[in-house]
Amino acid sequence: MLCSMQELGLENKFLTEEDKNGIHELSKEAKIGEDPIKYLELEDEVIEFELTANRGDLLSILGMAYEIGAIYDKPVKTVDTRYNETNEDITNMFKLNITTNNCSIFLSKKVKNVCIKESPNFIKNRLIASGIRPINNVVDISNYVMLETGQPLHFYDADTLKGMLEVRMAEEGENLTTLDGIKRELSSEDIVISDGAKAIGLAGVMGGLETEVTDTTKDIIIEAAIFDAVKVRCTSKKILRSEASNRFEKGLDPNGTYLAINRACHMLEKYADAEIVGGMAVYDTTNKQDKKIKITFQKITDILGLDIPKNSILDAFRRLGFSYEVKEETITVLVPTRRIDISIPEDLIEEVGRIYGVDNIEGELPVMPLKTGTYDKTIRQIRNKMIDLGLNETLSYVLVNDKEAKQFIKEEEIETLKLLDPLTEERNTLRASILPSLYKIYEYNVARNVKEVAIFEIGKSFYKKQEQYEEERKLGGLLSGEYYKGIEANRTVDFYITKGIVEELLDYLGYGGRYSFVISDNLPKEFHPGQTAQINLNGEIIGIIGKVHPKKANEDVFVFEINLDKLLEKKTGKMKYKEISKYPSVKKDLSIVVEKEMTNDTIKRQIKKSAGSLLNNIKVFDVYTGTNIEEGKKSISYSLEFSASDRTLTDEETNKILEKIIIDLEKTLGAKLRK
Amino acid sequence: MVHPNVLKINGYDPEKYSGFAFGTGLDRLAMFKYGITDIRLLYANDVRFLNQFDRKED
Repeated sequence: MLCSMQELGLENKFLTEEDKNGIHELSKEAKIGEDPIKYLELEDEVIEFELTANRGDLLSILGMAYEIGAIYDKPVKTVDTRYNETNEDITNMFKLNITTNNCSIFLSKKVKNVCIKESPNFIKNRLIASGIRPINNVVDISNYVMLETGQPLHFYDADTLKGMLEVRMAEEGENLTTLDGIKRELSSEDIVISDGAKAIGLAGVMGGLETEVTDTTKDIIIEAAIFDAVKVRCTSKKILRSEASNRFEKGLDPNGTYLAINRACHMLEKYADAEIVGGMAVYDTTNKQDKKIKITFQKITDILGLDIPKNSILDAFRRLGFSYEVKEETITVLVPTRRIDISIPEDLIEEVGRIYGVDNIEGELPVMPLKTGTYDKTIRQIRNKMIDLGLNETLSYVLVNDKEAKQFIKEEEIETLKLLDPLTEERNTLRASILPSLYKIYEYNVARNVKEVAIFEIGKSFYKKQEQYEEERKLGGLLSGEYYKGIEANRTVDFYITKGIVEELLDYLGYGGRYSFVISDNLPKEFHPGQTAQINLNGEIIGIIGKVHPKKANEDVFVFEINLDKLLEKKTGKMKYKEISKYPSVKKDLSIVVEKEMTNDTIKRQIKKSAGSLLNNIKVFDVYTGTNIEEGKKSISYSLEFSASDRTLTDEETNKILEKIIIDLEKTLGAKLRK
Repeated sequence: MVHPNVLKINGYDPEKYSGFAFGTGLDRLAMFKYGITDIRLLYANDVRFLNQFDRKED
């Protein structure tokens, strides 16, 4: 059967135009019926490594070879850098002008009469395996050498230059069209390569379009340089991440810069028939000597907590390719420049531990006196109470987007905290309330046709108030749809259920009788103004409970939020037995008519105040508006229970109390007894 | 091991003290235990997911 490369599973972006449009012809030796992979030289394995950020040296095959060589104790074969040179000298025809200290080394070689064609299969296939698209032999060699040595290179078409390269900081607002054809606007924080007149490359990130190598290029100027890692990172973060910038950002080895440029010349001679002009244009301020670090055997064994024999320690250094001198108990280690990550004795200890083998370190439990902990169970108790009340616990990120962060809070009163450098715009702000997180979860579930949402979350919230940064632990809850199907079927969540849950929790935590629900006209705009209250505990607002504004939610959604830091700082005391009265209690009912807006809470407090210690229970049993009740008023009925611990109360006594209650209610709240 | 610079910044003499830091991925352990195939489920808060963890185990 005839197959295209695409049908063999090669990604489109790696294919040539001919391969994209048709079939690929194999060499004459290919036998019908055999695996084409063999003839395409695609028989290879790819191993992907996830590297730690400090090991930029491993972003190359050579760096990886040193590492594997150390692990398996095998010698490392380095790359061939031999080539012939013409009698000319590049320094007679080409100049460097480096005017910024953000470039520590800049090397240039010139090669002539390159023959641009397709790369040999091994180069193409290795590039593809590394996720890089092959272009032509010359461009491929620059990428290939980068993958081999870790040093990014740039090739310029020599005819487009004016006999010089300059490295400087860009001018504010300077323009440059990069290789990908996009016009970029630069700032004075970006390092650029210039031809003496204008920017032609974005140092460490991407070359310019004007000077790129094309199919007709004859002579090439090679650039191998090291630019300031931080500057390259800032530029690439702003403009574009590339294979090159990824390597510059992590730091490079100046000896590797020489290695790479010579390797490129070797490859260009071998695979592009290039003639290499003699000499090298060099700007170099780097130190290429091995780093000297002194350490003692004792320090190594102390930090690792392991008695490694002296010869095993020295063997680790030998395997890593570090030379050393031992004088009594001190080792002076010479670290090659390729290991930019090693600078202090502790780095060497890490190397010894790694090469000796973490698996060879035996686990041992520390021996020390233990103290019983002081774990506060309250949070767990709150969590269990919420679960008992039928709510699911959720876990969400404290980072939300800036729009969400402004919901369910009073923007005029507190300021949300935006990250200076967020990873994504979706999570760029710390939440000041748990409720935006819960509301988002509600929307997520409703979008999946899950209508019964009863959730809570205990978490941190963050904001700034009067120049003060605050971090608070809060409990948030959200309910919608049918409540707790198992016990009470077909009961749709309403304000009373939500309030009941909050009351149940506060009572359980020992705050019974100390909190009240207060109406406020100063609410975040996401709350329904008629069905929302603040939760007041001992005169302090500790939370909010209410319905989400119908402008925001199509369905009925109820939420509550309690500041746990404020709540739990209030002491609840120990429980103590109170003697149960041996005498029967007396029940009285009381119906009054009050303004419609008056809350049960206000009335109850007034009744308790008037009644004194003999009242031991008070409950609402009816609320009524309609016929016989004046417009704008409501009737509310209480059942009151009186008792004394030392006698049976007489009717006379309780009636007297009742009378006082009624008079006080009339005086203070304008209530009328309902006849 | 904790980098000596971190110890220094926090007021400990790295010549005297050493630090050891470690972490376990609790979410990954939970995935093993319950056979959860996608780590994002632990943070998506899908009620159909949450409802599956509502009882005592043997």
